[in-house]
Amino acid sequence: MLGSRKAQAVIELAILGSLIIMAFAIVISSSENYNRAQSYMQQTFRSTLLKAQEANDTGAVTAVDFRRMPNVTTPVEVGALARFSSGNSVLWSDGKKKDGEFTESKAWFLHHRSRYEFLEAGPPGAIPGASIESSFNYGSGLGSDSTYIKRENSRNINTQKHLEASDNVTDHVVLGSNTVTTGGPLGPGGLYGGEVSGLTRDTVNTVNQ
Amino acid sequence: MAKKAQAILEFSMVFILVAALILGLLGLWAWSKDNIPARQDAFEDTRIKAGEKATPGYPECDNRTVFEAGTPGEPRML
Repeated sequence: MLGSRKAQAVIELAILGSLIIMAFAIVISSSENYNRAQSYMQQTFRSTLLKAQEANDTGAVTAVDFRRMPNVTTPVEVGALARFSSGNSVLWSDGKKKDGEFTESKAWFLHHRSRYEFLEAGPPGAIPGASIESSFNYGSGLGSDSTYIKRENSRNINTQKHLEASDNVTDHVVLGSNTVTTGGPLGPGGLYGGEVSGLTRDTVNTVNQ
Repeated sequence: MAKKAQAILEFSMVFILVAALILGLLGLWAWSKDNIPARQDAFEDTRIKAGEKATPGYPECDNRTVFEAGTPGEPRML
């Protein structure tokens, strides 16, 4: 009788606990997604302003960003791969010639928030933003190596976790007649395409008995 | 009677824990949803500055970053 009650309590705890963890996971991952997407869209718009001003005509900037999201159930591990795409087309012109020549609309691809790739124009006079057809295709292969060390003595319990993760994302983005290859290795902060490759995480916890 | 008392005791103990978890969850959600209008406000506030010639930002250089809205302030918690 007592055994079955205990079993029932354990089952109830297991179900309720996993439901609450799932609710936390949904809240954290969806809020991260919304916030990141908004931030990337704002940054891309400001980048488009910059390039349109430089072109003194219509400027279009497209960006695709990858990052690993938080892992709620096992926080030390890397989470799911998220992909954010954003793009704008802005006309910023004073209507005058630049360096003695008529200006043309131009388009760029912004690689991991640090480098612009100029896209060759399609038909003369076409507004890049209006003629872009996008299709995305990406691949990723995550490898991670984690260690867990627990030391116990009469005074305290010490646990250490260490993670070394590596990943590489390659994305082919078709923009009009151009195919842009972007992505790169996983780096600190779960970001891709930076100068440092490899993600390392360490946690140390000591509990006094 | 004793069983009833036990059930009430268990419920009250579990209720405190569950309420704390649910409040934490709501607090997290409130923080996250408050960030979105805060970031949008900061973005709108910097429109004029970004629209002036020469200030949208120069991401290609190391020492100058994309001109974007700053980090939103601490959000209101429950």
